[in-house]
Amino acid sequence: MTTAVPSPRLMAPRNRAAAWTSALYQSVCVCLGVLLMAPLVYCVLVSLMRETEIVSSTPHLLPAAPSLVNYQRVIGSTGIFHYMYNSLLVALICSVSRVLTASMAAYAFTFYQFRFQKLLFALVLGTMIIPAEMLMVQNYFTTAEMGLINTYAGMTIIYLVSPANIFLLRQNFRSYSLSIHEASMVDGCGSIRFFFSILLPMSMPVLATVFISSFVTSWNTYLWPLLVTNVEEMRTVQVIITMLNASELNASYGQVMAAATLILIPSLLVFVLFQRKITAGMMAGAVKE
Amino acid sequence: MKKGLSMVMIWALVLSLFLGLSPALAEDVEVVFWHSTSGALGDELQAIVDEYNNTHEGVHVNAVYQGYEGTDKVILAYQTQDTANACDINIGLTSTIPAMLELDWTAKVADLANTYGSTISQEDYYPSMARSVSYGGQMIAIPFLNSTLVMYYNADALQQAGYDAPPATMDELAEYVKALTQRDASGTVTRYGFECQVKRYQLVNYISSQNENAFFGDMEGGRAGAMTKITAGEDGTLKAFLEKLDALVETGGYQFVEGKVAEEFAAGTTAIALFSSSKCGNVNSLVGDSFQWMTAPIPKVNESDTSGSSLGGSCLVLFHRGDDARMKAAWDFAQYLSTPENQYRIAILSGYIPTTKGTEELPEMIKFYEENPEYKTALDVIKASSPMAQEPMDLCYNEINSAITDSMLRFCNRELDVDGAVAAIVDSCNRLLDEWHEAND
Repeated sequence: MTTAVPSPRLMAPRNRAAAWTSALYQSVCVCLGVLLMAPLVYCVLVSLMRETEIVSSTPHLLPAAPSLVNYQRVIGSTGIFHYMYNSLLVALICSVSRVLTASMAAYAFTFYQFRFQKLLFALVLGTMIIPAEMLMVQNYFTTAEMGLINTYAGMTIIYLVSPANIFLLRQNFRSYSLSIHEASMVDGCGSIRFFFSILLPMSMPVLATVFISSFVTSWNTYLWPLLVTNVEEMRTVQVIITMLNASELNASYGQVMAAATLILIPSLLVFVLFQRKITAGMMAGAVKE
Repeated sequence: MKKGLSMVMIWALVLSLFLGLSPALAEDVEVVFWHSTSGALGDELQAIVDEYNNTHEGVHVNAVYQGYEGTDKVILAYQTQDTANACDINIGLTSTIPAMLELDWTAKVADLANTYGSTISQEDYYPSMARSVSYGGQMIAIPFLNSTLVMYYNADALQQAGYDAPPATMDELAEYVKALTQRDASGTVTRYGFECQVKRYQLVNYISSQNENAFFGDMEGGRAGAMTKITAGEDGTLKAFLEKLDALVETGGYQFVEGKVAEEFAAGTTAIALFSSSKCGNVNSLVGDSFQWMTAPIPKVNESDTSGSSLGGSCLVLFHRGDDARMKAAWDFAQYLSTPENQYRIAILSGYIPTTKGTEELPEMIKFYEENPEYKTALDVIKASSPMAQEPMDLCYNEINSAITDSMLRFCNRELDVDGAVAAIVDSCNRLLDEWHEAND
């Protein structure tokens, strides 16, 4: 059996158009990528410059003689790794908790029918329109009453559940056919097993998205951890960046940028690691071998 | 076995979340001191605290950095009646004193002196300092980390332009700016003659510098009672300043939008700039040996002006958290921070003005000022200025700052003329004050 191969001459205009579209699309993506990356790259470059070079009247893009002195000073004088540990713990607790609570709530809202289901879901969504600042005083009051000031539990308690994540996962779960759930039940698969062994593995891309966004949001949180901690040992890394930037005498842009570069690493690592999960999840089932 | 071990580890992790860290419990009376200083000044403050702890048995001062949120945290703790997690001393802006008086925790300095006695009296402070922390004629807090607006100038640049002294008036400043501004072949400015973005801080300085009865608002700028309206538009001081500023804008060498003004001055992109005297230490380290720089009083609006720039900055506000021993210890520590020796340590590092008269009489302070006259300008200005020249207590500080900044930018961009800018500033600030009174009275 032979396969009919279209004539190159006939396909050429369409291919050319597709090639141009693809080139245009990729160029726009590259431009956007460069635009987004530029501040980060400049941050790293400034962190390698000496102070006189940074404040010179002629702006420099590249360090004349790259130096790690800013990193040495930041690491030596601020104890930044201890604060990174605090931030890491807070970010991990919040993101793991959000993935768990949001997926469980979304599971219930998607695969079960119960009284007031729509009302409860509307209430969950309703909490999204309340500005966090409005709740700050009451949240602080509750946290203090529970004796959680200066504890990791106090720093994370208001970030353990996210209605936006519940909404995101619920919408994703709705794309699955209910018959999968019903078939599993008929086969004797319980709810918990279905949830952990079927639903979650099938939803890795969206779970990775929720984890990454939760991690980055928690990692960057400044005000709440500052409000509920009154001892230096419990501070998060964002507070240290503020201290470096607000220093009245020797505010060093080089050191601020060095610290900013260091605290970018965990977020980048999380993104790089979980990006594979997103890709793997999207590709799973795409090709049957 | 494996499952059991996992459960133990999980419970240990959960428990650790709730334990957290808290200051070690001891028999010492603990004084919690919230501050906003970091870097070298923060280290020096910590060294002073450590020395106090080492020399005062039975008391332990716990200094905690709170950024600029310290005052908001005090208010938050008060609203929730969370005395356990509040502080005994907070460094707050003097303009927040009326807000602090709303809290019944606030312990007035005058009352503390009567109750516990004092090692320092009101007369030991410069009159401007004492007035900066007074409300309704009563001293409420202790002045700490105070500064004023001064003029920084590149002495080398002035010399090259043919000047051997800084400008004394705004008319002179306009002439200097024309001579100091440099442009490249395409006409683009490469060095501005003058830089100063006029926001609330700069504007109120220029109002109060004109005479001792010139206040930004009524009730002596909010210090004799709650401010209800802006008076700088009625007495002509605002208009007089804007007319002089108008001539500066005309020169084309006036940079009226600031980025990081101290850094820009140090980089040589401006020849003259106005900013806080507390930046002396910063400028010193940034400029290094690049050029000679010096400070001077801000140029007068009119040659006949009788006052000087106003005092601004922070103060130590003390709170009674229901424990007399703690209050007494906090009061003792707050006075310790005012001793000439400690004020000297802070002043030479930063450029903050020593609060007590005894400091400038210390031999080491005399020597330092002789060797570093740029640090002494602010002290001379404050001593020469009327004590009435103070930052206003304008109740809604942040909103008024935004309103003034916006109107001044429109003025400098030629969207408003002098009368239009006066009207815009007065109307917007009065509206904000009205709204504040409507919500709070």
